[in-house]
Amino acid sequence: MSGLNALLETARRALITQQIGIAVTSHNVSNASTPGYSRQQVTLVPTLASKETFGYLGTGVMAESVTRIRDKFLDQQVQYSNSATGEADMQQQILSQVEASINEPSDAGLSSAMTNFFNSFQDLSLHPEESTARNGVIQQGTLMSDTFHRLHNEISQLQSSLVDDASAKVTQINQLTSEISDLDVRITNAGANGAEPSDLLDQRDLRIEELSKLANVTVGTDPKGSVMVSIGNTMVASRAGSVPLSVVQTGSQINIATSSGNVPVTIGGGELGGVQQLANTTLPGYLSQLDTLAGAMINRVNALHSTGYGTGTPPPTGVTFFSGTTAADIAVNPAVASDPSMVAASADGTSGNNDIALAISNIVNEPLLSGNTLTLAQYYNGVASGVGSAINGAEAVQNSQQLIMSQLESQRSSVSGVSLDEEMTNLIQYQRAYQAAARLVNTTNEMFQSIIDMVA
Amino acid sequence: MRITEGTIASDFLINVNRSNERLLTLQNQLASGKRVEKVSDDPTAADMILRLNSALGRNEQYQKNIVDGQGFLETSGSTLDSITSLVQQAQQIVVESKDGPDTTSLSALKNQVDEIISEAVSQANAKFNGKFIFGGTETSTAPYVLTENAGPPPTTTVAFQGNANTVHYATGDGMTQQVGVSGAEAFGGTALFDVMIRIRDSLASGNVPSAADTATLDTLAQTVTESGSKVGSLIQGLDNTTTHLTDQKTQLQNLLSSQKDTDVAEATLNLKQEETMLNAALNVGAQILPKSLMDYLT
Repeated sequence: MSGLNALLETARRALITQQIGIAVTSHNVSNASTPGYSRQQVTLVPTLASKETFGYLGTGVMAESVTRIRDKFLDQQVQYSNSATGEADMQQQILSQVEASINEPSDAGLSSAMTNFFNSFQDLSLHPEESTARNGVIQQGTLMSDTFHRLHNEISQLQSSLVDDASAKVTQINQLTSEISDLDVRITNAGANGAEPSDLLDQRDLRIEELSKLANVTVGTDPKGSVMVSIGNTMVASRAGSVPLSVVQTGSQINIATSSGNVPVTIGGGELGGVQQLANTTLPGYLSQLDTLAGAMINRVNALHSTGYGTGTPPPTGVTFFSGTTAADIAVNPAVASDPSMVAASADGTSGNNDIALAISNIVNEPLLSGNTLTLAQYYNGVASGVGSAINGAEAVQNSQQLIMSQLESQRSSVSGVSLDEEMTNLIQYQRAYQAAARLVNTTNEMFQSIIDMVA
Repeated sequence: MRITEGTIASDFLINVNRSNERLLTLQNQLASGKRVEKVSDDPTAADMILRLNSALGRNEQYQKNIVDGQGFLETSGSTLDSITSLVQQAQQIVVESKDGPDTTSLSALKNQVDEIISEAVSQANAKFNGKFIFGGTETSTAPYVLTENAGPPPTTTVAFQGNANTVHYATGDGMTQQVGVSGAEAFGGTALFDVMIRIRDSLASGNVPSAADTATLDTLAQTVTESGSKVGSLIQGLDNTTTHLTDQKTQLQNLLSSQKDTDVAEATLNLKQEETMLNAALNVGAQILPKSLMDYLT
């Protein structure tokens, strides 16, 4: 159907459609810096042409759909990278605190405490008959024990504070999964008529991304556009609802399970995965290494000390220098601490014999640990530099993931990000088209006027 | 590739952040003078620093032990010297007694020997820093006890309360050196004093000392001298170890410094370079970031 009315109709549709274009552009410009926002694009299609005797005559334009521009594959990579970064962040953060406790290299660390302790026995070997040197040995033994306690306590406290961290992360996860399933329901309802609820999709993707920072997630989609988000083998969010998780604490071990049914959930990465690994493996490892060190120290010093003699008549013998068995309870035997004459320097009871003092100070050179291959100091140095290496490892992951993320972000921003230059160009395009369509209305109006003038 | 404002801004931020991080590290290294402040700065170097620190701690302790040992040995040496000269006086007296033996002069000589004995015993009870030098490992009780019985007949005995053990000090990792000689070795326990007492008793009874006693005195004089030179060689040994330990300390300190301290020249150069790069990045950022089509639309 041709005619002036049809012309006017075409112009009207053009005006409306260009307005839609301007609306989408202004939405994009407004959200240029909204996190998780994907640029939207209006798809313009010609309206159905009318069949005339001479052929098909175009009837103008209409907006077919408004869709978001998004690359699902990039999303997956971002999620993976997020999990790795989250885990490394957590490790770097906690291990740095362990490193601060260890406080090496410095004069206040365990390394110099052990050196001073063994040196104090050499001081004793110079003056085995004097009580000054005995007091020195007791003092250094106490200082070293205190350093062991401080290390043990600080790492233990760090370990128990991780339970709170884990609970906080689980609360965040539960909040996010519940939001994701709410959004999913709204998306499926809104999508029922075939249109794509872009902004809701962006919101849901943003939440999934936040979730991936906390734990490693796998995301499946069904044909209706609904997602199924799983952590480990447990589906935690879907259209059907979310599955809340909770922390199960067994001793110092942190496990995660579903709140209802108590089904164990494996967390493979992310901040929560990092917390779990630190609490269940890394920190207990350091504690047991400290215990091994303290145990070897106690056993060897006591073995030598109890064969020696203190001063007095008769000189006391068979006395152990340390009490306790671990880093937590190592202490100078109270009997010795309160009576310096119990400190054994002599191997035969004579006051000038210093063989036991020398033998104890020489423990510093004895390979006692790791299958008799490492001295106490070497073992400890290994623990300390191990913490450093673990931090370096976490930092290396952080750095490489930061690079990967920046690449992914810039790829994603290239695909989904709003380019103001582009939007401005679009705006001019739509504006000019709008002006032209208005001119069309004007022209048609003039044509109507001509006809009316002819009639009048 | 489609470049958006977001890409430009985030890439710019990442680069500036990294540059700032490197600047901070370099500034810290320069300000503290330390390249390794915590283990994660360089775990391998930190391990090395810990080893070197404890090696240095032990080295200093060994040097301290040696200073003490040297004092002990020097006192031993000078005491042995005075005892040697006392014994030489005794030998001289024995010779004199054989030259012109008459009762008066023998009695005078006997008095001199008496003096020598009590002086020698008191020297043999010499102390260094509260320790009896010649008691072996019995260092807190006087090794020699002189007992005079009024008699008649008057007798003098000397008892040895020490033992023949030797004291060792630690002077290196797993290494010890002997410090001091026992009276059991230097004076044959009480033999030196016994023979001098026998000589005195001979003189007191108006007799020339017997040939056997004279020979024993000569042998024991030799023993004391030998102990003196043994002490000398022990001091020499400690001196050698000190030289070694001093050299080792210098080496350890150099190594420690190379691991621990900031190479100021290198760090300063890197700092300058990093500053230049940061300035350039900021400059470029300032020019690029605000530019968009909107700057040109009216």
